[in-house]
Amino acid sequence: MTDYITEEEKNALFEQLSALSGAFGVTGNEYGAAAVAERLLAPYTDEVRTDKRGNVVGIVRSGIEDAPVWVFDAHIDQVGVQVTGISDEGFLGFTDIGLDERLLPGQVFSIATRTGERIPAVVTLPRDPFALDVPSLHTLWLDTGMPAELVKERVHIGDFAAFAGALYEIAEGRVCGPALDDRSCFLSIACFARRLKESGARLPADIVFSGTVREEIGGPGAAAVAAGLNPSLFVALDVCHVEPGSKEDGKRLGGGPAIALGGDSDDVVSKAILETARAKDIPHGTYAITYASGTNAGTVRVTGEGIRCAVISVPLLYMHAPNEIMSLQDIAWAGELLLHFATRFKDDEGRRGYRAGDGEGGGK
Amino acid sequence: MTDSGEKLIALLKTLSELSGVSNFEDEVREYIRDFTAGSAAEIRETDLGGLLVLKKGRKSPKQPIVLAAGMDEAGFLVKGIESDGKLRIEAVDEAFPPSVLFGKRLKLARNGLRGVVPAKAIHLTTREERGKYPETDKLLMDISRDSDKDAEKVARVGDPVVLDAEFFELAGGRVAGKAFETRIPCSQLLTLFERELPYDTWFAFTTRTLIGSSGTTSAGRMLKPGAAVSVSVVQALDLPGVSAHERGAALGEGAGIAIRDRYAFSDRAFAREAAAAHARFFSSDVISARLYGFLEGAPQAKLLEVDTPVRHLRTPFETAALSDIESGVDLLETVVACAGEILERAPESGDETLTGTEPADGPGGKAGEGDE
Repeated sequence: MTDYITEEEKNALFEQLSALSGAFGVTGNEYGAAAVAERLLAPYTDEVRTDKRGNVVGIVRSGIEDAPVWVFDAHIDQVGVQVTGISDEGFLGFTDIGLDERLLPGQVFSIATRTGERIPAVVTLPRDPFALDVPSLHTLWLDTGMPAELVKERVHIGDFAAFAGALYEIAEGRVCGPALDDRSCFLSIACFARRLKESGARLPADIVFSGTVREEIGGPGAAAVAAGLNPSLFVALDVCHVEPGSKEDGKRLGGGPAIALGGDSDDVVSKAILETARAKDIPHGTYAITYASGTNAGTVRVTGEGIRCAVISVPLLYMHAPNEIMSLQDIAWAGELLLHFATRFKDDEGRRGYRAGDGEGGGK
Repeated sequence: MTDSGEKLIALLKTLSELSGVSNFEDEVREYIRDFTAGSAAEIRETDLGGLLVLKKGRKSPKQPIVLAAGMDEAGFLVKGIESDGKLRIEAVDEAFPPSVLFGKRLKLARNGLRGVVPAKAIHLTTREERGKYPETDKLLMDISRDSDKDAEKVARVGDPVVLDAEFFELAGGRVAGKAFETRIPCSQLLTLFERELPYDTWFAFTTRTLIGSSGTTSAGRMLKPGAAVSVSVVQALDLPGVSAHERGAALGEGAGIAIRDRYAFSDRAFAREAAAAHARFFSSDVISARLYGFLEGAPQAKLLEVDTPVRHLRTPFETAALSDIESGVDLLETVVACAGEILERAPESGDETLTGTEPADGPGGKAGEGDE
């Protein structure tokens, strides 16, 4: 599996990721992203729907009665801002969801209005733009440039806005754009769904592909999916950092998916994933999580009586910034890893000798 | 929207999206040369890369009339290449405040290759880091190359870098994009160029206006004008909470005549006469100093600065009202007529050599305000 994706596959991935990155889905209003996600899964699943919480859920049935359920999940929400007030002059007060406030001045956003219209707007500069101190959010405004009466007609308190800017290829096989956290991982899941269908493999479990909402505020979307399906396995696909100088060096852009060890990741499952990667010669990295992974797995593992989780990451640079950078090849490799892992994994693996009270992971 | 409005938007979009850091204005110059070639009576290129275009009018003025707009935009130069493949870049003349650059998109003008100013993930930052912008003299551009060797294949020291910014046509007759500071004036001159003019007029498209005003000075020396008009923009700080003292101008209130730029004053009589119709007066101290360029290069000329309000200057989303841009074109047409008439009335050899240093006292003007 050391071959690079073909040019044709790369172009297809770029198109799909462009659609996902450009779809609107700030935490709290993920409907645009859900529509794209549903469309991507539809050809490869027996059934796909958007549930009451707004989560996209696609299923490939095993045909086995009372089959266990394995969920492969990526969140479809993204960081952004929300309109909190409108001044007489038509400027918008706003609050942020998961942003570094240094990014705000001069940043162009795209507001999604009640009618589904997208309106561009820019954040004003601090009063002394040359000061090195980062201005407080409360001194900045979002400006659509439109005359006040038009603003008041079209924009309302509560409207969300996402970073503007279309996805582009920054270097060979590398892409740059907003919301790759975590739409890129959703694309890995869609790649898995496609490869599963193509392979014709029969799996011992019903496979659920989920694109969940509201991960950036704690993961109630994923919790709802888990509570509803009670899976025996939940694998969270979420991006990880590859900033230069960050201490974790078991992962890099273009180095393949990074398998999380520890924390919310069940040791048996993550080892099985790691062995699959080695056996199938899929490039990969590893990284250790001593406590919380900061992914949907953290919420899901304590859903119901507790659900066995694992975390697989796709490396990403400049997380939560308007211009996240990653490798298309890593996205494809992650999909390939999921296919082979799901084909090999036995649901009772590691459960023998399991006694109530044997905690998983750290924390005790 | 009128046909002329649509034409103006298309023109401004094209100009805004061209790359032309000071001293690298070639793309803009060639576009303007093509645009004007058909109906120009004469086109001269200055040694500094500027373009001087003569359009015949109904009459010939006693001395040349020149309208000047800059072609350059605020940007950066590649200063070096790091071993990890990032480009070290330097803003040309403190072009942008650090708060505007963090995490933004940039473009190598030579090959259109795009990159970003690194913005480390918030999860990895310390409280101190989140409270301060990195110093602009440590600016980097990430083009996602993994080594200096890879980066050197696409970037060289000295390459110009511009903001990578899309042009937006907004609702309510507003537009947004980059480089409006000079490209709105260029669009106004080109729109006026297509009209029938009362007098022969030189249209000067000048270089390096944002790093001093050598291009404007050079145009002044070559044309020896009797009337020289600098066309630029005025900062619109019409934001909530900004006092009337500070706001400068407001979108939608029309283009106007600047009483002064940072170093030079509009000619008092010229300003009063040109503004007679309805034009507004500004006291403009925007970053650039183009009128000063004429003070240096054409001290004999009657000087005038015509400005259009622009909000969020030096960002990827500079914002302007189409009605203001159009009113600027109309004002410039009036200015050409006034200039011709003033020159007809003026004695053969100008004795009013102080015109460039005397404050105008138009409506709202601040007579007696000290120079700097």
